[in-house]
Amino acid sequence: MKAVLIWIIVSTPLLWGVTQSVKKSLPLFGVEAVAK
Amino acid sequence: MSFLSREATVAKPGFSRWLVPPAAVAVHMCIGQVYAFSVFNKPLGAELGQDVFWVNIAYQIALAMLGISAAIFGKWVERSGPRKTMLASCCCFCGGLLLTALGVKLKSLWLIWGGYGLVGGIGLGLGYISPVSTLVKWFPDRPGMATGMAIMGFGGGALIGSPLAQELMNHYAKAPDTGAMSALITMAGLYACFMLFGAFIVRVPAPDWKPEGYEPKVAASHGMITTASVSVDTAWKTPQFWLLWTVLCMNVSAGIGVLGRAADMCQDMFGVGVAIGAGFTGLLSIFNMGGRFVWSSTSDLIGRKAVYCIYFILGAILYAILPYTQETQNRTLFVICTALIISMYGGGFATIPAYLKDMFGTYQVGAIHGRLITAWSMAAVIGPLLINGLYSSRVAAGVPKAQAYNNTFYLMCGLLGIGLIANLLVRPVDPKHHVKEAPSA
Repeated sequence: MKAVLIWIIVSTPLLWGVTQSVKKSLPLFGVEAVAK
Repeated sequence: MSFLSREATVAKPGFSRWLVPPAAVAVHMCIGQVYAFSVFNKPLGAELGQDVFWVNIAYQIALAMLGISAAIFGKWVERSGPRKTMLASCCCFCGGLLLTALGVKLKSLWLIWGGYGLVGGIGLGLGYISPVSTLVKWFPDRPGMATGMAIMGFGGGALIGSPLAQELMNHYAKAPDTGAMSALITMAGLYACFMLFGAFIVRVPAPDWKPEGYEPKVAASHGMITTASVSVDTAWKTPQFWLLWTVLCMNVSAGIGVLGRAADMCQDMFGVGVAIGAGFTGLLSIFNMGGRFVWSSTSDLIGRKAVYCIYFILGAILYAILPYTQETQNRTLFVICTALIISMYGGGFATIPAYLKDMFGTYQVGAIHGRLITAWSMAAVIGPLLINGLYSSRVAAGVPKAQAYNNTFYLMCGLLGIGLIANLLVRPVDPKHHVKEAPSA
């Protein structure tokens, strides 16, 4: 349980960062940038 | 016994080794912010009334200090253990961010150079090598995967640092204030929380600990994985150290070829807009991060030497294909090739600690890694110089921008060729260099 919690704490910011990069890369695939 | 000492961090029986990689990731994803420093270039330039070129010097000082401090403090890191080192890294790195904020307040470029570049750079070096030795001791059966996880965090730091800084500046901005100072202070606080969290949960294994059922596989790897130990002072005098130094330097230099000019390259070669260029950079960042984990984990299965041969041979082939993608305007193939190249660039960083462990043992592998990182600092200087110089000379010679990159790509093939030769020359370390009474911690 403790290990799972620690992993969640650490991986949440990483996943947020990956999501931001995916959003940024959308125009490369012809998808309009997500409006703020 | 101090809470910070190495002795205080020795794990009790029954401790799960899977709690250690998150500690390393927590530190690395914070210091990986350095890759995203450019997001502050324009705001800091505006606040100080300086050209961004001068602001960006802070980033270059930080990268140089990363290599220098890792080389100088490597032995101290080994002696002091991961917790004290992570705390020192936190103080320097977050202190550097605070000094940078103070530099904005006082409009002092020197304070930004000294704060982010010098003090923060020392934090980068300490933080980068702090978990390496600990991880390879916890995961002697999978050192590539373990260090790959930590160094993946460093790649991920850029993915977090850039949008985080942007969001914070947007939040704090109030003309003429760009919000940079408040953003830096907030980031220092957030990063300190994560780095201290890492320092708190990190543990080193007991001297006689080994994973259940683990036996070193010396014979199966043709002697390329040693069970002996080499001290850092001896290691750096061996040919193996300098061959691996060359391997890392060439791999990094070649990767910078794409990474440093990614957005411009995409726009020039395919005539696309700024948004698509930025999207291309975003995609490469993901591959840079993912490659660190995937390739270094692969090295546990096929061996370190083999995986570097793949980086160099496949990398050179992919670079050689890039001019063709421009000629045929095949953007998909271009993206696939460059994404793979960048994944191997990241993989090169992540696999090197395990390669060092194979060659020199676990005794002072963190300190040896610290000295090897100077190859990165060197590549960070010579790589862009070579690439930008060659590109500019081609443009000055009247070559259209779309084709001006071709020679750069061929130069990258050459650098990868040098790296391949160095890698093929790596042999097991002469037993005369081994430490006689091999310490286990």
